[in-house]
Amino acid sequence: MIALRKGLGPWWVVFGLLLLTGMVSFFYGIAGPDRQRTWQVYLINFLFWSGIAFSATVFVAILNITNARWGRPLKRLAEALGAFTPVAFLLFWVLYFGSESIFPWVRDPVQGRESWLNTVSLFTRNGIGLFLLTGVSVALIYCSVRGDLKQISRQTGSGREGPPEEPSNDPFWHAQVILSPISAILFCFVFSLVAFDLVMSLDPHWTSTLFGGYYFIGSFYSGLAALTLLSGLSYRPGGIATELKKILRPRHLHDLGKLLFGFCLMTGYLFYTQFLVIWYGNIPEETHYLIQRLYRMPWKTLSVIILLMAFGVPFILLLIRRIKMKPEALIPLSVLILAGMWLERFLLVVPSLSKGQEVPLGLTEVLITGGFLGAMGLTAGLFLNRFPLLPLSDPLFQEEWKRIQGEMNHGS
Amino acid sequence: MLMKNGEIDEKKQGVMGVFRDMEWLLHAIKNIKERNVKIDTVFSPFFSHEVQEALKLQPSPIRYFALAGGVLGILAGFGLASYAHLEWKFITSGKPVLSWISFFVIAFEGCILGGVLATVIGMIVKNRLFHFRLPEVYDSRFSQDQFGLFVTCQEAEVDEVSMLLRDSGAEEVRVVGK
Repeated sequence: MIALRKGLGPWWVVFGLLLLTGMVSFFYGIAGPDRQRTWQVYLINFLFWSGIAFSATVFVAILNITNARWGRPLKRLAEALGAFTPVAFLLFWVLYFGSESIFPWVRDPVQGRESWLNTVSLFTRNGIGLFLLTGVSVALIYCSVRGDLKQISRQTGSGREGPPEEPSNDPFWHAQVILSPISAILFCFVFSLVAFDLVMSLDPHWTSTLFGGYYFIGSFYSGLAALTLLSGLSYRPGGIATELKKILRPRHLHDLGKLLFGFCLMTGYLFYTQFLVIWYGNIPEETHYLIQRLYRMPWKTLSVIILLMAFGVPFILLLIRRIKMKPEALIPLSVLILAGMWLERFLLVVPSLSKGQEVPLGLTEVLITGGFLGAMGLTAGLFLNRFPLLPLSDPLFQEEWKRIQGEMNHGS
Repeated sequence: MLMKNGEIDEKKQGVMGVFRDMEWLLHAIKNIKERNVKIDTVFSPFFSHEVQEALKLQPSPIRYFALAGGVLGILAGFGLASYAHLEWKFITSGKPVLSWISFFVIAFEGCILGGVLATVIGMIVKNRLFHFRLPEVYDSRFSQDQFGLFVTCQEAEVDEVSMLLRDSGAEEVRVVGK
């Protein structure tokens, strides 16, 4: 079995500087007059990056639930994104200090909804939910990595080399099989809760039952885009995990591209399902949310751009088979999707809070987003640096590995 | 399942190799390709991407049928909905007569219907269904558990190609059409 080395190289410095400038501009922002704007950017970024981290873990869980072989070489990359989950959990608590700036119902409590919409109850239920989800995600990643480390130490161990353990006896694999469905189900519940509490409650008079589902599917879509970006980058010289390209076959990217296409459709579909029902029902309490975003300036232009970035362009391009197999095409495309989904989170949050006539997109937004990107890059990089790049002890990876070797021998 | 480079001509002359194992079949295809001998048809009990890749075949053109059918279906769906609304002045719950948002549903269904029908038609056309006669070189084992590799060649090459097939792991080699 091959052991792969990987390095971050100059990316350490880049991510470190991004994180630093992000933190500086965040603290500068909350101390200055733009307090509210800074907090809303923080909220958007928390939603976006925690979505990526948790859905990357769910991607691993889905591979395990479906007994999928194809995605096994990408498992560690997804887990590297998932390494951000404990960080995201900590970042959630920072929101507590900004709750007065973020949640309009802190200053003007909503009559009849005070028992649900108050700071203590919100942070208790979301805290418990995210704690459980983070716990399961970390346990899942831990079991996966731990099994590999055990296998490596057995292979290079001092003389007492036993026969490789049967998959059915491997306690770490067994634990993954049990944890995976729990993690996927928890993800749907907790992310629905997060959507209701941290996004929908910003406009406390607006309700949509489907919003939770739309939100976590959108998060999963951006998680897949991030994974595609990372896999694509492994083909670039100087990229992260470049060693992976030696074993990735074109079909791996093709399958990932197909999945990305599927969730592009799914996200667009869930948006449309909500939109159609609200449009058809035409009840002012429901429509005001959409009218503000889709028909009124300054948000109208932005919503069209988002529709194109997150749905229109990826939909058309991902129909083409060759694009799904080329890292050179997938990298810019997944960056486009990620930017589109970030703006989509922005559009969900900001119009509820900002009453100005302009779209508040400027240096503050860029710098704080850069800070989160730096934090994500550092955690993922540290994780990849520390652990083997391939899930060696995973029995389904071993099957996939045999197939890859066969394909290499036939030179296809 | 037939995977072929050219058309099946009933009067072709060549060598047929029968393989029990996919690995050997792929091996043989590779060897034959290296010698620049023309592979006429590969018979397999099931569809295989590996064989398709080894033969370096163009991807199936059926997908263009599906795409065209889907696009036509979308247009037909919008057309049908617009026509019906204009012709009978459907005004529902105060919405405009041509309200595109709800027409998407019909266009979407039209897309699926058009795509599916075009795919079936494309499959029938491109597979040249319906055959009532099987190719002469066909063997019923190719629909059970064996693979066949039919190579066309001149009479002078027959011995060489037969050797090549046998060396590549063919269980059985048979000269056809003399």
